[in-house]
Amino acid sequence: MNTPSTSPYVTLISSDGFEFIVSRDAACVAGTIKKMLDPQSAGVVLEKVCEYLYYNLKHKDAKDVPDMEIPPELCLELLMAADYLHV
Amino acid sequence: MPARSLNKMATQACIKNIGSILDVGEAPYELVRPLLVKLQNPEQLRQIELNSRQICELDGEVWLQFIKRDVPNWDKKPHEPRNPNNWHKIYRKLCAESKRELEDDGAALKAEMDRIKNEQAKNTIHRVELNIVKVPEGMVSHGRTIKPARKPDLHDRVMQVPPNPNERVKRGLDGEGDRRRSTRTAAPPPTKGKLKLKQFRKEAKAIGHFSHQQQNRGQPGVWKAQDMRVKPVSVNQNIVTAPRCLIDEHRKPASPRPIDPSIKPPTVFAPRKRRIEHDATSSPVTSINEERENRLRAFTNPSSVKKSAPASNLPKSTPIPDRSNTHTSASTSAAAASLDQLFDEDIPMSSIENSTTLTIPKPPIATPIISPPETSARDSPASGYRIPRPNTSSPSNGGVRRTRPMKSKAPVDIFMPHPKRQRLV
Repeated sequence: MNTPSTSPYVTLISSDGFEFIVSRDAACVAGTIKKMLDPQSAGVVLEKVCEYLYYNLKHKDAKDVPDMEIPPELCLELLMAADYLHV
Repeated sequence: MPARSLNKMATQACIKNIGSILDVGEAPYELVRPLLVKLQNPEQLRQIELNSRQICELDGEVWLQFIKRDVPNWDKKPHEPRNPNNWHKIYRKLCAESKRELEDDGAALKAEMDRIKNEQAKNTIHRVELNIVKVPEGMVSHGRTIKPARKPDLHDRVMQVPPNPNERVKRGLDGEGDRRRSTRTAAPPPTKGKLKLKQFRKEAKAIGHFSHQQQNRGQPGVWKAQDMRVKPVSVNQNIVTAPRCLIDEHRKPASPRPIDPSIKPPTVFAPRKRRIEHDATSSPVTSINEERENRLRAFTNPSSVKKSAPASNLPKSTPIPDRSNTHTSASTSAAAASLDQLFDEDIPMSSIENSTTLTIPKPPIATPIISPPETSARDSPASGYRIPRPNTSSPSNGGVRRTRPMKSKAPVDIFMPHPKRQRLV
């Protein structure tokens, strides 16, 4: 997923390599894309996701692993990201 | 994977912080459904609906959950909206209805309680001012209480004659006459019938009081404080005599005191005519006396000592009390002479030292035989006991009967250096 820096147009790239350049406003109709386009929010959420990925790998073989810490302000967005990522 | 999915972990984190969630954004209802069912505040749900419109249509089940919780008898009322978007309206309506019903029930209960309280209040006892109520006879109203017209004191009690049943009618009339004369009572003069009834009641009380007193304590003549608290007495009788009961009690013969059977009166023995016939079966008293005689003789006349020489002709008067009398003045030779004369009639008179005292022919008969030895405790064998005498006068000790015998001191015989206690059985 591309996250460009403050230009009126954004590029959306699919998983099979197709790119689509659309205006930012159009893309922000989708709340999920809008959040992903937010540099602050997107970065933090992505960072958490990466953390989770490592956390998962680390405890791959273990049992009864304590849950990862999730700050309350991120929990909803993290939920949405996890749902989106099927994680 | 042993670790939980991010989805689950994120959901858990959201539930933990559910109080602060007011917007789920574009998240689909299915995603946030586990979150919404955990909501406790319907107002919060409404906010989420407003912020995330996609929730409105599907959150009916959450509203139903609220209705079930907050509205009693929800299933008896129409609780499903035609438009699923209007679940919140249904909820509000039903809540208002239930609240109204609760208030109505509360008001009804309160009314019922007030009614019961009022009914109970009617049955309680209230104070009544005595101005309205008629004061009984012989009593005077003192504001909130009533008291007898005049407080009787001890003087009244002594002066009052307890009513005699035989004189009831007569007294009634006299009482009326007195009442007219006296001005002390504040009550109006009662009728004849009431007066008689009052007199009768007083008699009963007085008789009962006095008899009760005697039964319980048996101490006539002794007044206690509770006797001074007098029942209300009519003040109209100005009779000046002692109470009849006391008079009767004073006059009646004194009842003989019950004698304690364990107390035996001292045995008094009649004088023997011939003391020479003294033998082994004689009583110990005489032997003691003889011993004493001998010793006395030994003191006075050491030359002539005779043992067991009883006088042949003794005067009828017993030597015991006389000797006791003379023993007290035994220091004098005259006494010794008289003593010798008493007991040693066989002995010639020449043995007596002082012949001049022979002029005392006979010893003074101090006391008769039967009289109790009251002077010397030494001589009486059972000296600790007193012979009970009939009560010829008022008791000297206030009517207290001695229930136990007096403790007796050991009889001390001055003629015997080491007294042997020989008690008469």
